[in-house]
Amino acid sequence: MEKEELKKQIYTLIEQAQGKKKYKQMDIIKHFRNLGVSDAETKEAIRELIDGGQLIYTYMGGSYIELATKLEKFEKDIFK
Amino acid sequence: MPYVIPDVVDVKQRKTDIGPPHYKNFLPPVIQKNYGDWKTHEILSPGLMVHIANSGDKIWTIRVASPRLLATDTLREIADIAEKYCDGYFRFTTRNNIEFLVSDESKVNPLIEELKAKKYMIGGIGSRVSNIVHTQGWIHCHSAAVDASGLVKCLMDEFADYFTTKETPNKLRFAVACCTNMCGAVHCSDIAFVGIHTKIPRIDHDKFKDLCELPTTMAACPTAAIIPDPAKKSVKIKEEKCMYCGNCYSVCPSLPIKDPVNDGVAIVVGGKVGNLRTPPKFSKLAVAFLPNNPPRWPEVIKATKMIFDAYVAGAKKHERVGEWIQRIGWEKFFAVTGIPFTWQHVDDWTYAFETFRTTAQIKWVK
Amino acid sequence: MTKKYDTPLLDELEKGPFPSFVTEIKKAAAKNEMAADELGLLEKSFRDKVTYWKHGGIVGVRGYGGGVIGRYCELADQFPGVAHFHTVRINQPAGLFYTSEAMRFICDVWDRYGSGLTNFHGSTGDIILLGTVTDNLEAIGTIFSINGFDLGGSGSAMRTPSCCVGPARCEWSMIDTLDITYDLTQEFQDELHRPSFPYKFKIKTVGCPIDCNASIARADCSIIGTWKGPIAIDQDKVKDYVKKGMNIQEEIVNLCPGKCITWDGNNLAINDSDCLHCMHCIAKLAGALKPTPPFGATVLIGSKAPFVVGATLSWVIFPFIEMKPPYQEMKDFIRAATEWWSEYGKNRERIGELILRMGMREFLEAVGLTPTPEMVKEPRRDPFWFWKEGDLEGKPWESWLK
Repeated sequence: MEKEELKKQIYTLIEQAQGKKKYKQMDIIKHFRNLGVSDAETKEAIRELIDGGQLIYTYMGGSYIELATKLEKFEKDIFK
Repeated sequence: MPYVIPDVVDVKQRKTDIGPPHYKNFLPPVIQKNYGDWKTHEILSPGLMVHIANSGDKIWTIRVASPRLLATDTLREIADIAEKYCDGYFRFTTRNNIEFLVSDESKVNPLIEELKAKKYMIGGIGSRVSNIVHTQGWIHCHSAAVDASGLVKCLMDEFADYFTTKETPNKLRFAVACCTNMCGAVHCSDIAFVGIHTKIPRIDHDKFKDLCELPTTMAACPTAAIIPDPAKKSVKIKEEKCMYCGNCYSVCPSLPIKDPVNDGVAIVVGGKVGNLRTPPKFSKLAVAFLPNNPPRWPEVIKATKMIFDAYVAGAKKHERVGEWIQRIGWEKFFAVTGIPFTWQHVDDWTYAFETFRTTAQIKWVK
Repeated sequence: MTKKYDTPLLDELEKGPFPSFVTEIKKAAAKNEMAADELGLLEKSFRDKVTYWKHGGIVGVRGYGGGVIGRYCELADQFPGVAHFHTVRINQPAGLFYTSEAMRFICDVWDRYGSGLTNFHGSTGDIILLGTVTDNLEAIGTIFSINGFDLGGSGSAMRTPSCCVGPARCEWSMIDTLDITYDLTQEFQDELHRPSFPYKFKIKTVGCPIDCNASIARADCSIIGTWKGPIAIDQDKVKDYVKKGMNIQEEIVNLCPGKCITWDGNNLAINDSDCLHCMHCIAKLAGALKPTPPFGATVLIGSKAPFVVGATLSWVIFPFIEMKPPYQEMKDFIRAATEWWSEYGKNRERIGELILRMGMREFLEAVGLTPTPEMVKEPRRDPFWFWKEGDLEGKPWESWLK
């Protein structure tokens, strides 16, 4: 899969799972492994999404990868 | 190396994955010269030791206590003292003490005098009480059942003489953890304190679906006490199975367990990490519950003194608390300390069967 | 002027000989609003007997998933200064050595961007800078990085490796704990900053079996220096200890777990083939006894605090491994072990717990090791074991029954 396409699909995967399932890095890698994408390619695409600021790491008793927009919402909600 | 703090910070200049600075930048010249080539050391007094290299070079170490929580003003004072007597070189121990590293013998006594004048507590080297490894407590932790720094302060005040002058049969290592998550070596310390809960978590059903994930929350429970509550899109807790560990709260903020009335302090004893003489040991339960009573926790201090005094009176030279108990037996431990043996002392968890006595070898203590 | 609070309960903890953390908070509170509100909040916790901090693990610096612990206050309205009160973990120099200049730099950063409160150090070993706000994080990360410091680990990641004082100032260190720690930290930068593991993974390195960094109790990977050569004895120095009042029979011979020392009042003898390498005699007779090469390490896996099934001490995986730069065998082992764990581990499952769930054999095969008696306390006592295809191939008994 082309890298930009892979990045788009990773983003979509996480976007659509919002509120239902939180993905760890390995979950994403395994998801795309089943679609024939190598672990290294997925890892690199995740890294670019995170370095680019579209995705972030989050922590709630374990580390996950979520949409970067989650931070603003989280900080707004936490003081409610 | 000159350090720079620009007035305007350009975040694009940030370098990633550089790791920590190389430790050699911080080693005094005498250590750089004799690195890995030390011959021996001598403890000259409870807070002073000298290490002697094969080359004949020496370095003196003066150890002082720190509360671990330090203001920048104090750190600057330490930096100033180190500059005056140690060419700017100092370090910390893994138990949060500060060590001034003196290369010039003539500066040892003046440094000690200045430290005394500034009310630093000097000691902690050798067979005695050292500083207490502890967690954040109410200062900074969301899952703290009790405070940590406060308990540490009360314990160290009580046993201060054993840091500065008096000896114990062997090193005595206290540790404090503010909840059963135990961010510190509480499970392997001579006498350790852990904050505990005694009531099940409350469930904030409205927030559960926003804040928590069902499978993760269920998996966090060691006893499978958490089950789904589909009607409320939340969970239920089987009260008879819950042992109040609070692990669910770590993954799910809508299961708060903190409780001003029913949280307390447990004391565990006999753990060690070193391999000297006997293998490393886990700490075992001595007191299942004492009230969480800030600011001085008098019940905890009193119970600790009962254990501490029995150890100092009964242990042979070089015996750690766990080795002393192993020699005299647990039935004798409870007899000589005067601590009652209760239901909570009998294990009913993962390794329970390994703790039941499987021999007729018993000491009659009364 | 910063906000002032009445703190009768905390004031109580300024009394007594041990240095007071309350005094520290007050020092910072005198010039920093965050610290001032931290003091007020803590007094309230002492009064109400509960913590007022919230979960919150989303903040960080761009690109990293660790190094910042997000923290928010439940009582932000009453204590606005600590509405945000995030912790920054800075990777400590190995061995916890500092210069005054470096320390002043850290203080300058924290007076400008944080509460002025710190921990030297956190349980894992990092420099802990307590209390800052989300908007300051990128600047803090940048300033530390351009001055040669990097963030430490947090979350489901490689945590900041740490070690004892080692060869820098200890005659017993049989491996270079500082160099190993520095080297492994550099090797695993990606794993440290970008959480990709099921849960945390800690490495602690100590120079000898005295274990001054509790590696066997609180590191997923414990590296403990040890030796294979005989214990060298300086008989004159042994006699010096006798002159100073030591009872060699009681304090040394009787306490030897290997029962391999004899003392005839004049001569100390050690049967090295029965030595358990515990360090008792060497530590008590400092300068008179010393270990001799070959030096290396015993490497153990799996210790952790009680969650979820109970506390574990680490288990021996390499009874003895050479620890010479570039530590390739160690690095390969850590990679193989963490890859196996990442593949099969569940969220929040430590590597030791996975080994218990899947079996030690699965782990050893994954990292390419075969079992030896040094790995166990005793062989199994139950009659229930697995056979794998090939275990009995070639009639293995024939070779050793010859």
